[in-house]
Amino acid sequence: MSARTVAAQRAVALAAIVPLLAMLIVNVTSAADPAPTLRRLDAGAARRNGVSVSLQRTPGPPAAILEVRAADGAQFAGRLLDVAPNGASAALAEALGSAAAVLVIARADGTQLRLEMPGLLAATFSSDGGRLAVVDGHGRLWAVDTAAATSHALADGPFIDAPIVDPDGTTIALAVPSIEAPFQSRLVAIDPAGAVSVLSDEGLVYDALRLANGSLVAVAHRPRGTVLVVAGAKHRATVADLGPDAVNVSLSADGSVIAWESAGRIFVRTASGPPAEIGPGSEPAVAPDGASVLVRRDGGSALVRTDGTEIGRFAAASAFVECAGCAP
Amino acid sequence: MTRMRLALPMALAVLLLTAGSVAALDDYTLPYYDPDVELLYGFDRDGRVGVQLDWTGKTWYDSQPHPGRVYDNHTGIDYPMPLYTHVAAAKRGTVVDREGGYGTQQFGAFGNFVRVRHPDGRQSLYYHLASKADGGLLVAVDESVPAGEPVGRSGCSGICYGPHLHFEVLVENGQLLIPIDPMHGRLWTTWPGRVPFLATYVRESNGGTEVIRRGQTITHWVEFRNRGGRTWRPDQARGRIALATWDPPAHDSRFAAADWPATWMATTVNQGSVEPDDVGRFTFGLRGSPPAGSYVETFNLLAEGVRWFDHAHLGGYYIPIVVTNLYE
Repeated sequence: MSARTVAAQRAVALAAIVPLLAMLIVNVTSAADPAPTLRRLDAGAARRNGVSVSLQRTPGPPAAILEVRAADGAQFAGRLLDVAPNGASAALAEALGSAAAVLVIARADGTQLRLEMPGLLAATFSSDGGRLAVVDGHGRLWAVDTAAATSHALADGPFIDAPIVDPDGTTIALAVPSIEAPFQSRLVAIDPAGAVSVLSDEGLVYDALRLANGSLVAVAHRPRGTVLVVAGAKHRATVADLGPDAVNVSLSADGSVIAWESAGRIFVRTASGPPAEIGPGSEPAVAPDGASVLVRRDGGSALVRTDGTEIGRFAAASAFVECAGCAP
Repeated sequence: MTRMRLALPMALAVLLLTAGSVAALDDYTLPYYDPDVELLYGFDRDGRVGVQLDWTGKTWYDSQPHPGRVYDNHTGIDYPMPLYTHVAAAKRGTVVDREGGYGTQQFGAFGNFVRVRHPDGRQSLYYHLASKADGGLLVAVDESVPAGEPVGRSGCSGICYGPHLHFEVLVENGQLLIPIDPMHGRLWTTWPGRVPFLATYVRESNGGTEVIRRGQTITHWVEFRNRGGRTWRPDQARGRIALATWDPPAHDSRFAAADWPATWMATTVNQGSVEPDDVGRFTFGLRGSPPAGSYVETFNLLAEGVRWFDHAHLGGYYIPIVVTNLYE
C-alpha cells in the first residue's frame, strides 16, 4: 500500500470521526439541566412529520412477533431499542448516541411520545409497559412514565445500559467507569428513589436477563469467556459457560435455550445438545418457549428454528411480544 | 434524587495528583506504529460534567468542540486510524483480558478489547478493536507480550463513530482499576509520543559504492538513530533488532557473508542495548559472490518476529555494489 493511500485512508477516518464524535460530546445535558419534556404526537401529526412508524404483529402462540416499519412502507431509519412486553408500544432511537438523538415511543394506535435525549444509548420498558428506563450520553439514568408523559433523572451513574425494569419500579443497570470503553461494569439495582446497590461481584457484566421463575441471570465476561451466573445468589452459581467471544446473549423464558452471537455468527445451545451454529446474523432473541430465534440479518430480521432452519423473514427490526397482549 | 456514589472519583483525584511523580523510568510507547497518527481526543482530568481539563492544564467547555484536545469524562486517548491497523503493546506485559466477539463495526454498549498488565503494576487497554474473526485479536490471555508487539487490529466496535483506537492506562487500586492520563506532564513515561519502532539514517563506513573482488568479503557498517520508543537489543527471543534484506523483504542475498545469521539477515544490532535517541551500529560482511557487475542491495531494520521498520524513514537505505573479477 502506498504512503499516499495510507494518508488518504487516515484523512477519511479522521474526517469521519471528528464530526460524529463531536455530535456525541457537544451539547449533552449537564447535571443542572431540567428533565427533558415529552412531546405527544397524534397519529396524524406523526404521519405529517414523516416519522410515523407502525407496529406489525404476526401472531403465533405462545408469542407474537412485532415488526417496526415506517408508516410509508419504507424501512424505519432509526434503531429499535425495546418493545413493551404486551406489544402495545416500542421504544426507538433516532440518531442513536448523537447529540440529536430522540427517543420515540411508538404506540400501536399510531400515536407517539418523543423525547429529545442527547447521546441516547439505551431504553428498556417495564414489564407492564408503563415505564421506561433510559440512559443518556453521559450515562445518566432517566425514568420515563409513558402514561403521564413525564420524565425525571433517577441516578447519575454513569451507566451503559439498564436492561430490566421490575414491576416494583426497581431498575437493574450496568454501572461503568467509562462510557466509551467499558471494560468493567457492575450489575446494580436502583430503587425508585435512586438508591443503588450492587447485585454481583462480576467485574464485567454485559447484560442481565429475568427468567420466568424470577431468577436474575447476569451475562458476565471473564477473561476465559462468557458465563451466565445467577445474580444475587449467596454462592456464585454458574448457569452456563459459553466460552470466549460469546456476546449478545439471549435466553428462553425458562433459561433452557441460549442463543448468542460471536462476530456475526449465531450460536444456539439447547438442553439436549452441544452448541450449534445456526448461521449469520446479530443480536439474537430467543422466543419465550425456546422454539425459535429472531436474529438481525440482511438489514431486517429472520426467524429461525434452533436447528438453523429459516422459517420467516421481516423487512424491519422485530421482537417477540406476548400474544395475549396483542391488539387485534 | 440519590446520587450514585462510587469510590472512583475520589481515587481518581488522588491518582491524578500523584501520577506524574511516580514513574520517571518507564518505557511506554505509543500503541501504534505510524508516527503520523494524530491525537483526536485526550483524557479529561476534570470530573465535572460539561467541563474538561486537558493534559496541558487548559480548561475547555462543551459549548465549543475542540477536537485534538479532550471530551467530557473521557478516560483514555483516541487515535483515529483506518480499520485493521496494527495496535501495539505500549509496554511489555501479560494479557489479562480480551474480547473479540463483537462485530468489527458493530455499534453497541460494549466492544472488542485487549487489556495488558505491566510489571510496574499498571495496565493498558486497547478498545474498539476489530472482531476476532476479522483478525482483531492477536494475543491470548496469559500470553506475554514485549513492548511494541502487535496485540490487535483497529476496528469500530462498541460506542464508536469512526475507526479509532481508544487507549487507556490504568493503575490498580485494590479491586479498582483507575484510569490515569498518560500525557499529563509527560513525566510518567520516558519516551512520550513515540511509536515503538522508528529509525533514521546517520552514517556508514562507505557512503558511496562498495567495490568487492569476486570471492572476497569486505566489512561494512551502518549506523541508525533509534527514533522509536523501544530499546533495541540484539539477543531477545522476540523483537531483536536486525538488519535484513528488503525489496522484496527477507530475500536471499547474493552478498551474504559467513558472518550473516541467515542468508537474508546481515546482522543484529552490535551494542547490547540502544536506548531511544542513541545510535545503533550494524556491522556485517559483504561477499562478492555474483559475477562481475554492478548491483544494489537494499536493507531495512527488522524487529524480528514483530514487524519491519518504516523503510522511508531510513532514507530508503541501500548499498551500491560493484563486483570485480579477482585478477583484474
